[in-house]
Amino acid sequence: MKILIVDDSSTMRRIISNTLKTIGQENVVMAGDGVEGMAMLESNPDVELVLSDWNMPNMNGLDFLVKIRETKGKDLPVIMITTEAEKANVITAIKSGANNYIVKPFTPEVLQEKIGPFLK
Amino acid sequence: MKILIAAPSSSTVNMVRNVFTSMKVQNVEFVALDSPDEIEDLADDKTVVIVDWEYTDDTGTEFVIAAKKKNKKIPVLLLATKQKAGTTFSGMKAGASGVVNKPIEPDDLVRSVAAAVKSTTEKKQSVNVEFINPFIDATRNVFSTMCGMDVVRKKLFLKDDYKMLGDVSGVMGLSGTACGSVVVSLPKELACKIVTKMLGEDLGTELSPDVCDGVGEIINMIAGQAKAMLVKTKYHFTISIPSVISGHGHEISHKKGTPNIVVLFEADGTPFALQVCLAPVESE
Ligand SMILES: [Mg+2]
Repeated sequence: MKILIVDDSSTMRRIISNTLKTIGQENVVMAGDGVEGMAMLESNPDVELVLSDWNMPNMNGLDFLVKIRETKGKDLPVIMITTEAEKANVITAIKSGANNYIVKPFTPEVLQEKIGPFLK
Repeated sequence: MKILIAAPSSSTVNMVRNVFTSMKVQNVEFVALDSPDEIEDLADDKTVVIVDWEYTDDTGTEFVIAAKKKNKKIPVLLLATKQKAGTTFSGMKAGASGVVNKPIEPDDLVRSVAAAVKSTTEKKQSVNVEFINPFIDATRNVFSTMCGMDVVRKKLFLKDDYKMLGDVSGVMGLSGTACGSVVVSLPKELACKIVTKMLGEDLGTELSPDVCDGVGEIINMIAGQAKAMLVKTKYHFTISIPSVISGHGHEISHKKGTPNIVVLFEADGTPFALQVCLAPVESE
């Protein structure tokens, strides 16, 4: 399955994609903010899972999530991976349509566990 | 005032003396130190020790230790070229109160000496550091979770100048109920090592854009973790996008009038610094 990773840090994008590789997910596309993320989704309609950061320039992860739900409905799973660790943030994200929430810093095990149910 | 100068070359002593003469500072006695032991006899309560950070072994640090052993209150300044900025941690850890850049700018040296003397004679202003522990815990957590490294907290002190202790620094501006900034400043080698460990890919030993990006993500995670721990306190803040500044002896400003707290840590035996400058926004 094709997975879109959106994070303004190239290091974080690589950490996530390296972890995905270890569980056999090699088909990955990446973007550095929500605007690029939307463009990526347009040009890659076969993306089946989105992993998105929250704090990013141009369009942040929450606005990106809202935009995905507006334009693509509820079928595309979106998992937030962010350093925003407060309950209020988690609630906001889930209410806005996030399918799961991962707090940075994370271990590869946590990432696998939270992403696992959405993998094909 | 007596200025004791430790330097591998005698030219440093003349340089320092010339600076004070050219700035017309009077009543200063200059003494060149040959060995750390001399500090015991020479230092009094009006002494400032300057250590030229050019020794090729641990001698520089030994001078700092000797001064602090004689009297904890003796201010010690390190003279370091910008290339050596990342190596001054051991001097700071031993008790030095600041770094003066080489080549010496007369203003900077005289001001730094005056500030060092003032800070030791002034009655210590009490500083509220109740918000610092979340930052320390966050740093530990980020390093252990992302890099598998245990960090040890070494020392905590206040620092007024803008000179960063490391070769590369990640900065996060903090705003909201409280505002200020948090900075992680790392020697080059440690920055490369931790980003290499985070990624599980060898990034070499230079401050590449990849390493700098990793440092930005480190401060992003430290700030985010601390933010969550400070929720519902007057020190709560919001974060935005980190920035990374590198280069020998770079400077990063902090909010004037707000104490800038430096926490020295060690990871795998290498020191690095976390700086937190944070105060609740005054409500009218
Ligand atoms: Mg980010």
